Amino acid sequence: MAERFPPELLKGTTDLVVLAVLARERLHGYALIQRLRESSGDRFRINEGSLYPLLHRLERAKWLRAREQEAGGRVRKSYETTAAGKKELARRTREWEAFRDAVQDLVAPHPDSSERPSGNRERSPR
Amino acid sequence: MKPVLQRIDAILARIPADSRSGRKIHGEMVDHLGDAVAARVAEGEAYEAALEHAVDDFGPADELEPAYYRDYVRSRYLLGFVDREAFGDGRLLRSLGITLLLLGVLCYQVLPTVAAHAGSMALVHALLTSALQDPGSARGLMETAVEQTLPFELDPRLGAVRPWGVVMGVGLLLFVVAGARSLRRLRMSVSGAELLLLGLLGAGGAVSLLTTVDPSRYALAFIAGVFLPVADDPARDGLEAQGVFAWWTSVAVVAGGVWIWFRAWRAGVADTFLLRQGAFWLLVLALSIHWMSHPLLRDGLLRMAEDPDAIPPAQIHGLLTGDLTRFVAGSVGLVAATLGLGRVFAAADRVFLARGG
Repeated sequence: MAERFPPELLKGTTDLVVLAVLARERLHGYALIQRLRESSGDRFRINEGSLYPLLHRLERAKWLRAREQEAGGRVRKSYETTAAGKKELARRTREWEAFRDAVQDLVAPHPDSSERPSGNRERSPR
Repeated sequence: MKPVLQRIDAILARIPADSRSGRKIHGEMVDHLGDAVAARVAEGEAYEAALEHAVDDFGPADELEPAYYRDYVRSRYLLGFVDREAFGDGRLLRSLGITLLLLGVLCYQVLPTVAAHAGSMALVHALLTSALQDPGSARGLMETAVEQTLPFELDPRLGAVRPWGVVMGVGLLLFVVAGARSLRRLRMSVSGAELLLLGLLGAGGAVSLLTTVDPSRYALAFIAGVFLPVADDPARDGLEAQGVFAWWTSVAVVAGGVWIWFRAWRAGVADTFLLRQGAFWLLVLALSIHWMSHPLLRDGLLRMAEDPDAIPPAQIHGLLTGDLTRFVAGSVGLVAATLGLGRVFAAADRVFLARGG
């Protein structure tokens, strides 16, 4: 089993990850947890119980839309990212990429200390 | 460690299941645990162990309980105190109706009634004991007392009490309309036309209260009729028509109530206890309105219109006391019926939510 990410690393990125996954497909809570695990090779594990307050918060912010569907005699609530949520996702993705690059610049070993990186350094293509 | 079901209960400890927001949270949690347990059982785990592990993965109860409570409060209350659900499903309207109705009963019925009757009885007592020895002095005393003790009948000041009657009428209307919505949730097949009929019944009751019940007016008119038979008495105008209207309104309210419960019974609603309670309070409501709409003084006035000596002064005290008792009993009945029906409507809401909203 792959090593899980520590909770403090997940903390600032959970909203982003949830918006991204739900922008691709509509899922209910349990399926979302499973998808996060599968897509991250079981490294992205959030506290399952914490997911629902988070989903409700994103729903109140109009970034997620909840739909109730009947499945197997039960009414299930599934979520998907709204247009406003996708805009927020794009903004957060840009923010995350800038953050990731900055951290990368800071932690990457540099052979020549005179060429210490700056925040304006050209980013490597992804 | 607590048994697994108690850990689930601890997470949801403060989230009421009789609210829409609360039920969604309960439902999602149960669905999630159900899915998690099913997946684990499918992988070969024993049911008890699967449940234990699913709750372990869900998270610690002491951390989740405040988080879930915050989530519930934010989902349900705007700015932390405005209840969105109550606004959305008519409970706020019903509470407003109850408040206005009770305020109207107090300010339009109880306070003026007690003031007018107490004043009238004091006046009658004075007239019957000492002042009657001198008719001239009795007339002067009457005129002074009318101005000082019974101010509500005097036109410029009558306006001060009338708005409370309007408040009471509006309250009754809101209460009936919002209450009908609650009853409808008990899966009674009430059509729009029937709801409109209920609204009209409520409006009829409100108008009946507003136009026929003004206790101070009857008290004064009666005293003036006995002691000042030549006085111009506008209160007598239309008394008969008011009485007929009040009578038919009472009949309509009772008939409407019987019809509502009959429809509920035909619709197969199983909550017979709730229906019995509702029927009882509706009857109390109708009786209260009937009592308050039929003061003895009005009948006395109508009799005196035909025969000025129909009511001997010695009976005045009895009539005033009887009416005071009627108004106070009617007010108490109206308040009790309002609160009782409010509880029935609230119970209907809970049944509705428990059935899945």
